[in-house]
Amino acid sequence: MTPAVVVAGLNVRYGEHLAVDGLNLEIEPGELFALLGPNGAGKSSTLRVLIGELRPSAGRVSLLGYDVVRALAKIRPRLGYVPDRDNHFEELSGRQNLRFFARLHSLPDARSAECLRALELDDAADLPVKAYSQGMKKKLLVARALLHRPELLVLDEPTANLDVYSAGLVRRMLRDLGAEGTTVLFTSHDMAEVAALAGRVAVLARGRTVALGRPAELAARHESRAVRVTLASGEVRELSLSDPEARAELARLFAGGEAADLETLPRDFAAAFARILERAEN
Amino acid sequence: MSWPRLRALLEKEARRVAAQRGAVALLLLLVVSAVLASVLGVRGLGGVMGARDASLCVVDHWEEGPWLLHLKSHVPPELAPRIEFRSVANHSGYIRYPTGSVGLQLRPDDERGGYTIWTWHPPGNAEAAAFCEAWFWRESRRYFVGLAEPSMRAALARDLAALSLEGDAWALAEAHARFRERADPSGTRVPRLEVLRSPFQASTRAGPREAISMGLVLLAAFFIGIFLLPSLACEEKERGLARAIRLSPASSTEIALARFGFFFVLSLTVMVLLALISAPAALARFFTWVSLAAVALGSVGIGSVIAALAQTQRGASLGALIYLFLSSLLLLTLPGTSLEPFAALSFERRAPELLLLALSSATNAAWRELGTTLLVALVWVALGWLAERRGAVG
Repeated sequence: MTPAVVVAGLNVRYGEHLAVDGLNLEIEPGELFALLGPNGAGKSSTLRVLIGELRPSAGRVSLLGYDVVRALAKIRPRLGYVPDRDNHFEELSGRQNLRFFARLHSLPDARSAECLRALELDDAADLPVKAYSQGMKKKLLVARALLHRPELLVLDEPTANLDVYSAGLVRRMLRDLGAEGTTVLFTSHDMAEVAALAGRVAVLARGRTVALGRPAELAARHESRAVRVTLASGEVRELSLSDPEARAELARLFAGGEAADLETLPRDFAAAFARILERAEN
Repeated sequence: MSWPRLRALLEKEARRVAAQRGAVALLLLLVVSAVLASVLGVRGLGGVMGARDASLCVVDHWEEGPWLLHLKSHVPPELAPRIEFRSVANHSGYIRYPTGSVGLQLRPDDERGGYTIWTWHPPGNAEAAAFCEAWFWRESRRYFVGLAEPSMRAALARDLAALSLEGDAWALAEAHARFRERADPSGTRVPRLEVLRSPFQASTRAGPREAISMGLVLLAAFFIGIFLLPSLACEEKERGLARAIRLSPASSTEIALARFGFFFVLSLTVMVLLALISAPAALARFFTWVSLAAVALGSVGIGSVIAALAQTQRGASLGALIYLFLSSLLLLTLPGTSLEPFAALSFERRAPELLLLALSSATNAAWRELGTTLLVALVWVALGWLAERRGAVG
């Protein structure tokens, strides 16, 4: 099966500054893939190349089997994109915004109503977008990207500015899309979201991939186990098993009969991510 | 090319313009101004504008000589600012006169000898050249008296006072012929003079009303084409909307065509509406319709170039302002220099002249003027198209 996304030796250069340095990625159809990294790591530049807004300085990028530089017109009808900042016609209503894009995709108006309903925006559909909250604008972006049922969905921080409920709604939607075979590539700064949603992640630092794999694997590789000990006195302590002093303390508590209960904690992906970046910096 | 997509893009432009309250208010203000000018008349402006009174007389000559030297050195101080000598010996093509001027040509007649004195004046307003003709004939007669036999000079000089410009040109010619018989029977020293008078070709009866109509229509064209189009297009760029549209199946050709087509139609509609109110008779002519279309086309073409080059809404406004400022500066400074032909190709010079021709119902159609303006407009359209394509690719 042709990979949905192939990035081979991608370089993006702004003058003397190399924003993306030899990036390689391959994402399979139906995969939920997260692109992570601190600010300036090269995520946005990579996404801009993927949507055809920026030409690569070197390397090759193909989406759905087509080269983004040479055959963007073939990719566009099958690609959905949610930018990090909202870009709506503020003076038009949410419904008018979606209808416009639906018509560009030769879709009936009913499809825009369907997407508004799916994102729970139908009550505000006829209000001008300038009256929307940041979260509503973000949901409208997601609705717009889903209008034409794209095979590949690229999202730049899809849940930023969303309340807990709406963020959950979007996450469920992305999970369902993945299950239906849509390839989802997204960026996020919410590590809990990434751990819960992404099948695989790539961590970028200074334009290079510094870690690639499933979130659980990366956590296991880069973050040690920790335990929560409840003492007979009721006090609770968390001890990392990778720390020799903590291990000695744990042994002492059990030998002395002070420990009443022991719970193994799940590996923390956020901590693993921080450690990956720390190692990359060093 | 897909019609449903084009229609969606056209509807989008219409909705966006309709939501611009400031722009709609300005266009309404133009319509109200046209109605007021039409209903209340512009009588009060006549004295101020004086568009039908020539303020300048351009004396065009093909050769230098003592006659011309005499004329040049005998311009009374009160007429000095109003009489300008111009050599057109090496000129080819149309001879142009500034608005508000008359022309007096001293054309050597190579076949029959002598000269043709050809006066050019605004249509229906031959008297506009009277001040210039009175001076010219008086000084020419004075010069030729000096050439006559010394015995005749005293008698001939008395005729100078009797020379009147009340009569028609034939009377002047006749008077000169009689004078010539008496002064120079052999016909060797005083040349034969033929007198012709013609209204300017491609000229206007530009009264205050026509000038106001032209101003309103031109303002509408420039506002919609050079300001509104780039402003809205660059707002889409700045807010990332242009990117979102480019990611849809709409091609860059469809996007550019819809924008260009919409603003061209909007511009033409408003221009026709203003012309209908302020100069309805002019719309009976096919020439007027094509002229309005040419000006709309040019202004939208210029706007497209600005829209393609500017990246932000502020950049677009500044671009429009800089463009108009530069155009005005060049139009003010180039005349009289070797670069003057470039000024003649400027859309800002051609558009007002063409509109004045188009909205003055008494004027003959000047197809050559229209053709040149249309050509300049098409060059701007082509530049806009190229810049848009380059922007879409880059």
